[in-house]
Parts: sequence; C-alpha cells; structure tokens
Amino acid sequence: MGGHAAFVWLSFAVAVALLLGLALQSRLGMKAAEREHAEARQEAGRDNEGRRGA
Amino acid sequence: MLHALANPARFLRLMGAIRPYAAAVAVIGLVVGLGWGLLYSPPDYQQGETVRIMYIHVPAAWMAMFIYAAMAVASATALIWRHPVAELAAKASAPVGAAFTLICLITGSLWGKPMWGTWWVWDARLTSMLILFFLYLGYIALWEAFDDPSRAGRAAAILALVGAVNLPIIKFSVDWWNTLHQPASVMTLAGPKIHPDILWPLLITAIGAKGYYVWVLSLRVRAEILQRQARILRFSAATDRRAG
Repeated sequence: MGGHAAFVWLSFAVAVALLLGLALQSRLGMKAAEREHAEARQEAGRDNEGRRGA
Repeated sequence: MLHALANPARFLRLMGAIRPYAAAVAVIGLVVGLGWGLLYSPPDYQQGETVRIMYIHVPAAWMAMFIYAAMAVASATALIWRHPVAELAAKASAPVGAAFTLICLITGSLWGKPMWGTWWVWDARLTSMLILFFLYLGYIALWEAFDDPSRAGRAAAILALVGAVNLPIIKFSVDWWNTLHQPASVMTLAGPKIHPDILWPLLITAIGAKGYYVWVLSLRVRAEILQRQARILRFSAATDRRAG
C-alpha cells in the first residue's frame, strides 16, 4: 500500500474498534435492561399476589 | 404517525421489526464499502493511498451531523409535544453521534499528518467539528447531571436545539472562511465532483453507517424504555406497599 499504509490501517482499526465496541456495549445494555424489567415485573407480581392472598 | 409512535409498546414493536434489517444493512454496507475502499478502489493521483482514509472519514462526518440533526428534531418534538419516546430516541442517539464524530476527528488527524504535515490546525471546519464533539459530550453529561429524568430531558433537549446552530456552521465553514480543509466534493449543487470508482464505495459505506445507526439506536431505545418501565413498576409497587 506504499508509504502511508500505517495511517490507513490505523484509521480503519480505530473506526472498527469504536463501532464494534459501541454496538457490543449497546447490546449488553439492552440485555441488562431486559433482566431489570423482568425482575421488576416479578416483584410487582409477587406484591399483587401477596395482597390478594391476604 | 407522531402520536402513534408515542406509545412505547408500539415503538418497541416497530423497532424490533426493523432491527434485523438495519443490522443486515450495517454489516453488508460497512463490510462491502470499507473492503472495496481499502482493497479495490484506485489510489488518488494527489493523495495516493491515504485517500482510503476518506472511506471512513467522510461517512463518519456525514453521520456525526445527521445524528445531531436527528437529535435536535427529536428534542424539539419532545419539548413541544411532550413526546416521551422522542426524548429517549434523542438520548439514545447521542453516544452513536459522539462515536462517529470521534472517528471523524481521529481519521481526519491521521489523514492530515501525511497530507498537510500536521495532526491538527485550528481551521474553521476542524474547530466546528470539535465543538460538535463537545456538544455531544455536554448533552450526555446533562442527562447524568440531574436526578429527575424529566428535568434532565428538558435541559438536554434545550442544549441539543441550541447546538444545532453549529450544523450550518460546519457545513458552510469551508465556504465562509478561508480554510485548509477542502470544500464539498460530493454534496454539491452541481453533483459529485469525484470519480465513480471512489464515489461508490463511499456511498455504500455511508448506507452501511445509516444502517448501523438505526440498529444501535433500536438497541439503546429498547434499553431506555425498559429501564424507565422497570423504575415505574418498582415505584408503583413501593407506593402500593406503603398504602396497603
């Protein structure tokens, strides 16, 4: 690729690392939010059942 | 349409349906566009091989401005119509926009060193792009600065709207001031000034970057909506416990 190959490869590496990192962080964040939501629903459901039981 | 999307459940269904297609567009567009640009497109007669950096730099710059414009529109929608999903869409967009702005700044610097002989100059285009990056960071910081999400949302929306003034400054900085940065060569009234061998991989990468934005936005908005719903569920459960 000639004399400036390092600049080109570094540019591609930075872009790929940032985009993949953000996509991964977003996906993990969504999975964590899904777990949190399911727990909150379960807690709310337990509360409602407890009141009905009482 | 706008009111239909204000329903979080409906918005989540729509985003869930779009997500796989957006991911496919992102992967195909970015792999084909960047692969073509890196391996098969010809070197430029002046820039040589460093022209390949443009296949990342230019779509990243377009995305940085496009996402900020989208954030400003979503913020205006949230402020005027109290649209809850628009507010969360703007919040979810900010990290994606900041990432593209950072990519634009870093790759521009990596291109500048061999071409201009310097990593950075306080040129109008470069400086206004750096201000855009700080606007993104400020917007993200404002959301974290308040305990009350509604106050945070209002403050961040006002910043997004005020900061939108910077977008025409970025776009026309190369015309209004004497800058080292070259003028527009793709989005011009007379049509693109660059050769199709360079234009096509650039456009395909830009389409891939749009797909990436929609894909990551759908993930982040889903996370925001679910977190907000979980908070409401916990709050109402705690209120019920105190009352009962």
